[in-house]
Amino acid sequence: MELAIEVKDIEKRYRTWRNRKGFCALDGVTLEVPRGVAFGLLGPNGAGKTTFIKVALTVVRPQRGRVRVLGGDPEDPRIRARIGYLPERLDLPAHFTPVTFLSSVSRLKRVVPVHDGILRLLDRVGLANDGGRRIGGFSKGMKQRLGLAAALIGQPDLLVLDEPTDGVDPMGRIDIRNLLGSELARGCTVFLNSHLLAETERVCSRIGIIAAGRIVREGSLAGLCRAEGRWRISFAPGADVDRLAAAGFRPANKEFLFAGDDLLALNRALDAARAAGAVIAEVRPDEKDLEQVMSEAITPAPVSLTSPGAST
Amino acid sequence: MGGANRGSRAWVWLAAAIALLLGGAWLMSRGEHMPAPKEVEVTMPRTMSAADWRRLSQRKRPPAFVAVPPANEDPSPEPAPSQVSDPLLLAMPGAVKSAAIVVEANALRHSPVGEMLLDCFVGTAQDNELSRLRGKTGLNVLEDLDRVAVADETYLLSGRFADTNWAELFPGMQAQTPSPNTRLWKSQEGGTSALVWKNQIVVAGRNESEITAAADRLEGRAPAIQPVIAEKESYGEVYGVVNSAIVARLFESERPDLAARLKTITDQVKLHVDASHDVGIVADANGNDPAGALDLAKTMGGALALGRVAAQAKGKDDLAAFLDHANVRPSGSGSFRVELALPLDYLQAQLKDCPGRKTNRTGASSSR
Amino acid sequence: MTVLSIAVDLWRQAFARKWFVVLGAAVTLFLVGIALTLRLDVVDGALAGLRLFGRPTTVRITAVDVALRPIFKAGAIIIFYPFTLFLITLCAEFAPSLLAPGRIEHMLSLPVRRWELVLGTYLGVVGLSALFSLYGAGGLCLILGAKTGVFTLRPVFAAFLGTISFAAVYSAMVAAAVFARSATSSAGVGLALYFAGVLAGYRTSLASMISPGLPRHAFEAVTGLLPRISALGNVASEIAGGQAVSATHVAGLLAGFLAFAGAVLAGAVWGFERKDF
Repeated sequence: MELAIEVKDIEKRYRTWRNRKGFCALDGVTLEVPRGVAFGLLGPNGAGKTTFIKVALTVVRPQRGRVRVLGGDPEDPRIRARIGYLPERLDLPAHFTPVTFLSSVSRLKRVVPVHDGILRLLDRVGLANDGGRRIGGFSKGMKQRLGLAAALIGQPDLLVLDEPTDGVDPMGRIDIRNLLGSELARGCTVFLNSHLLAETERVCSRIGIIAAGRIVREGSLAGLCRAEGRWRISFAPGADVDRLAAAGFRPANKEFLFAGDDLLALNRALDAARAAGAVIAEVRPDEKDLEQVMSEAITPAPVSLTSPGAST
Repeated sequence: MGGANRGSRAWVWLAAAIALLLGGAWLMSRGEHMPAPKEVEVTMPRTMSAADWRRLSQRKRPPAFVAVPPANEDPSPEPAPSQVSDPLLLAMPGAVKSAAIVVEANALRHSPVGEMLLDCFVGTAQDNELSRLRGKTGLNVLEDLDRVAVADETYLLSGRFADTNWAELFPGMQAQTPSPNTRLWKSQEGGTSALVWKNQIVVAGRNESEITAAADRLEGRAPAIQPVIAEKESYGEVYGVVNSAIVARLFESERPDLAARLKTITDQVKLHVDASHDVGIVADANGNDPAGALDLAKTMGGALALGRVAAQAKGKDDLAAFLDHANVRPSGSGSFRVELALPLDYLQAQLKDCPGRKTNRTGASSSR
Repeated sequence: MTVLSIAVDLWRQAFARKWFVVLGAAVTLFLVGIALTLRLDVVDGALAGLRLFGRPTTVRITAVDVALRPIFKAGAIIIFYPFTLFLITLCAEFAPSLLAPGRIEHMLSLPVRRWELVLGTYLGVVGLSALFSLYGAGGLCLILGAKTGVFTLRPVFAAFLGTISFAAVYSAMVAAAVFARSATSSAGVGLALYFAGVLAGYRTSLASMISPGLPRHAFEAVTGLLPRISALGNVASEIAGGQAVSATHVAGLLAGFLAFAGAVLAGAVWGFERKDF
């Protein structure tokens, strides 16, 4: 499997001359992000998400560990030319216009700036009518869009986006999600930091959860969200709730939940339900939302309710 | 690991920084102790300096009588002619036809240019002649003379002549003592006369009436006259007045147009030379035609500039350096001032092949 | 090429800011003012008269190039002293703004090496100072040359020396920006080095005023490392005024200044390479 990002046993401490021991932002982090996927890194504030990205992009230097990006050393300009990065706080030159700024980034990325290409890029991010305005007059959302456009210059193989929709209006978020979708379809790998779980769920197929400088969960979204040993069942109206409860089905809104050790237990319960006169409309595995997954990963839950999600 | 590579690279930059810092310090220090290129140090004699006033006051003699000005007379900074104190200036006539020049021989002898000029005479026939003169008359030209002056055809000396044997100095001339302070020497054929006053001033020439008039002025017997060189004009190592026609002759062959205009527009030129370091020459041309003088000043300035360009073009760097300091300053009232500087290097270059220096190089010596 | 791209982008930023345009306009206005209000009367290669704003001024009539020397010397002194001070304050912001949070992370993610960022920023600002200095000096030479027929590049060379002087000072400002990320610190370091450099130019005579022994040795050691700004300023003034200068002395000063700038920039890159953002 080709990897877009490969970090192994990374330790990063921020030291000051007053505090020589320092604060440990990443504590032995190991992570592999395959090529061509959309990967979301989640975690609470101060967990180390941004530090992880900076280590991957050599903006900060770890005390220990190994980093490879797109199969090469991220210090290599040829590798960095294939990366598009949108930082969490993007400070754009206020006196430039978007066209000037994107031309500048193009040159630095060793891509010949073509005026029409720049205009098309601005159109993709929804700034087609603002190409000649000074950036200093832009809103936060407009600056984010422009930052995204800069990241897309040169058709990068890896997009690293730190809170890409911060400050963007809801319609704009849809546009950005569609844009990321088209980049994924092109074969680009998308690495996303975001606090917006719903957005991460919509875009990403793989998730990593980081807390206190450590990766606590990592895997496919589906795998992490699946609740082991739990199923949701829909019955046709008219089922006897008491007899269903006796069979082990607990009501949950308009559906019923069943928790069992295995499929055999589920089938025995379904047999009992049918025997009670219930008509089965739908059976499917129960799933957690991302918030639950995160919550369970960061804060250990009581043993009786859930079992921890497994990596796949 | 990229971070480790970057760490080791960083130390290379630090080593380069230290090496460049030390190398830069060495490079900048190289020129610190080199002597600065010699600059021309010219003092232009434009007015009486404090030293000039001191020199003048040291030469003062009490007047033979004290003239009390009338009560209603307008006080003037110019001393009344009867109160002119400098005996040499007093002895000079009130007007000249060609020129009146005073050379501060003693000051010049001890100046850098004076030393250079003296070097030129060491071991030469002139040097030998001076030695013979001293032996015969007791007059040491290089030590006893203070000033040498000329006013038309009258020659004046000032200095210490107490040990001078006048009879040897004026052979064949008859001496008279018209007063205790004065001795008058006349040639028997007539023509040349010489006056010696208080063994300090010598006035000699062909015009006996002029010489006796000088004696009268020195003794206070003559009516007051304004000297041809005023006391306030007695600054520099050489000073005086020259008729414009004579100045014009200096460049008549090269610039006849300029010479003709100088003679027409100006009457006389006051000259001052300062030789205390590099030589500065100031010439004030006076006339009564403001527009003409301004135009002439511009033309002269242009001529000097062209001369400088020509010297540069011919590779005569010393002459070009000499003309670097040349300028003309019109006053707006019919007169203008020309300033020139003679760098010592230029003079040295001009005098390098003089007879004395050649003799010096071959080992001859002379005592002074 | 990347270094040049960064430098050119810095120029674009500078010219997008009003005060650089105003500075250029001010210099242009000064030159146009000189061209229109100064009348020079030249006779046979001598400056015979001068009119400023129509008022005649009495001048010493001398060869034109000699008469222009004080003007060129004054120009060299203006470039070396007040103009350089002005540039220090005007340009203090560039390097810190490059290193500002949100900007530096983006720049470091691009295929640009860290030393290229430092060098490109440095060359951009020094290039700006050269542009304004040489524009002013060159413009003055052209205007006075057109009026007098005397064309000389001496003031332009003196302006070039002024740029070298600023280049040495600005290297320290870049280093300060790398370590402190503050325009105030950058300007402060620049001003401190500037005044220390002026003193360093007179270190030989100043050292004789200090008690012999450790204090004098310490003074000589510290000032020995600094660029001799006043010494180079004197050389620039002499060159502009047409005086002879020792070629060895000038070459040593120039090489020393460039070595100093290189040293400080190398130190800045060293700090930059080790720094986390």
